[in-house]
Amino acid sequence: MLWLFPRKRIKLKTKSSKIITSERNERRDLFNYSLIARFYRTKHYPLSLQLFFVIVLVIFIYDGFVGPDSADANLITLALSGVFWYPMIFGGLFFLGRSWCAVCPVGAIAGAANRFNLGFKFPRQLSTWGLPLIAFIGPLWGFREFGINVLREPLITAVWISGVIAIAILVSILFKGRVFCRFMCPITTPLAVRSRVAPVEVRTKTMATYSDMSNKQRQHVSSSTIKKLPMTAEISKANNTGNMTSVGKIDPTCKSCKTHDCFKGNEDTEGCPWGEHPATMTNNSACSMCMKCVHSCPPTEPMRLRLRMPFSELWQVFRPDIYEALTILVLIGIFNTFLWHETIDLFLPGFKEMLLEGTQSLFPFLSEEQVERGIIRYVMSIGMVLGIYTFASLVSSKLSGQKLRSNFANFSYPYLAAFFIYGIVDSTFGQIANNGGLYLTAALHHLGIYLYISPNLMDLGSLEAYSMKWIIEAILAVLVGGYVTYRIALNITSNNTKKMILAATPHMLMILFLVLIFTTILPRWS
Amino acid sequence: MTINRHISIDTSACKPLLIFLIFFITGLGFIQEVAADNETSEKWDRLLIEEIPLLKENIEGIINAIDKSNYTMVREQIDDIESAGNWFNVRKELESRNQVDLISSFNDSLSRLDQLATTNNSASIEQAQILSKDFNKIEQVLGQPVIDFQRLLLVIFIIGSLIALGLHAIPKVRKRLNIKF
Repeated sequence: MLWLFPRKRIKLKTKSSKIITSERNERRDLFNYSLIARFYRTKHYPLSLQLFFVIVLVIFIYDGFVGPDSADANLITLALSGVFWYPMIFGGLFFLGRSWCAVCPVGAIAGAANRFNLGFKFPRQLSTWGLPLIAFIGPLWGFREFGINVLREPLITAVWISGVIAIAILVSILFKGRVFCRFMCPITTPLAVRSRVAPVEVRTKTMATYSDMSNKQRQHVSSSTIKKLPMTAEISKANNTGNMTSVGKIDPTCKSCKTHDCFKGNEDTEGCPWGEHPATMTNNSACSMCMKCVHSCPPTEPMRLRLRMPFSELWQVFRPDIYEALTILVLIGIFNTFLWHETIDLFLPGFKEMLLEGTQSLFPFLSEEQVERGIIRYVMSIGMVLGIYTFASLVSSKLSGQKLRSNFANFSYPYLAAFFIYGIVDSTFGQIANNGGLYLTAALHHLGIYLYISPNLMDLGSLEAYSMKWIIEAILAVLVGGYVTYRIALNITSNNTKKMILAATPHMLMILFLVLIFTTILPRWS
Repeated sequence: MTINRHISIDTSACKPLLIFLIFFITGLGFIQEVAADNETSEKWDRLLIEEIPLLKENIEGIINAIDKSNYTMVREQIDDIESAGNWFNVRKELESRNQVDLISSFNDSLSRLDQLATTNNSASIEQAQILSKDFNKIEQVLGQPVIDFQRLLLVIFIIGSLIALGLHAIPKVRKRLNIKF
């Protein structure tokens, strides 16, 4: 239970406890299991899976163009709106981070095209999560609210995904590095923030600390930068450096390494396609677990695939990103737009109608439904979440004497934790239970196995435990969200109890408020 | 001293496998083409994920309409079952599974119900229950898998051979063009 109380843990830190921690870390290394080690260390990973998914995607696109018109019968819509998005990507995030990116067919095509790049540098101003966040809000999610459903209409889906591939190829040929995957893919930001929740990480034997590393150094890490970094962490100093808990030091093997193959690549293997140096990596947001670093580093050397406490990265974020905070709020906003539609009626009756009338005159070229769904419901849902979170951040920053921007970026992660609990149950488990039969029947049919499976794999309504779902979700979301808030507040206020309470309380109350909305309004729409 | 820095991959084993696969697929494709030429029976969609829920909806509609003594609605639902393509696809699939008894039983129930509904007979509800039971039996039968081994093998071998081809060709392309994977 010591990990729950970090301050006590610091007091207890002795030489022997460090050794125990190191041994524990080694025991948590999944490469100790030969089956896992063999799977990830073979060079066929991820290439064979990439090839498989490229073939599958080609079949899906073909079906999208010439197959059935119904979204429930066409492979491309079945896959993109169901099989891939919910169980494989969303569900996979909870267990394996953004591993999907390692085998993603669009990423594979972009990666192959990138071998022949013209060498242009992608503008630094655009090298943020901002562009993909716009792609997520607009072309991927927003279009459907205006009647262009890129995930549920076979022909539109096929054209859309072909367009995405064309852009990926073009960008990869123009620029150096995985620019499309990192700064353009419409789902890269949701994956980046959610991958922080995963209970696994690819790190070096001794994990890195950024205590003496500037942001500029971190962005452009190189072998010479690593050599300048300290061997031993200055724990107290690191604890004061924003929302970051010191987690160790630069691995001595990496520090003395002359080649840095994991980062630069060697004759046989390319370096990290995401441009991250494993020796200094402390988060999952730009790690697709493609294992290129593991392939290029000798098996006995520092690369580890380690188990960790789920959600623990959320309170160890070095330099919290404002775009990540915005992504989290957008995800909560679009999670259920009906929910926010209802909420506004509860607190401000008549406001929605007033807004609708005013907006319609501003957009005369849009139909009434487009204005209502696309502008009022969609934009208002995101705006409401953004508004109430900004209010909580404002109160928290005023009370604790922090800067608003810093508070805004730091405290978004507990909301992600709370939201993730709802997402994993409803979007993943609920989706598989309610529509799993549909996907299974279609997939088996294409393989030549003809049978009909009822869409509901499980009758959730008859499960007694599932009827308690709302209460269990609410308790879990409050506990996990509250705990992450406490740990972040502890980090950013340098263990000052009074400031910590003042900084955390507004956010804890707001999480409670969100959970109450989810618990009281959402069941009415289910 | 040379350190083996990674697990090496030997793709030479892929060659005979690849040749075998190419021959296998060509042969299989040829057999399928001949089979398709000889096939004279009517084609139907074996993916029944749309048809069965719609038929189920029709039957539930019939029961609800009888409960409300709305016999016009009952006849509309029966017409819908008979005229729309849903029952056609399900019937063809049952025929291919040699379940002619189930088809005739369902058809009999449907026509009896139609007669009763035309005369606004209150015994319709019992007949609707029989129809519902017949449909449940059909659903159970369709829940049992029928495997087209030829298609299954073809799909597995096409995808397998393409992966094998990729794994075989990519290292060669890499060496030729001096690029890393």
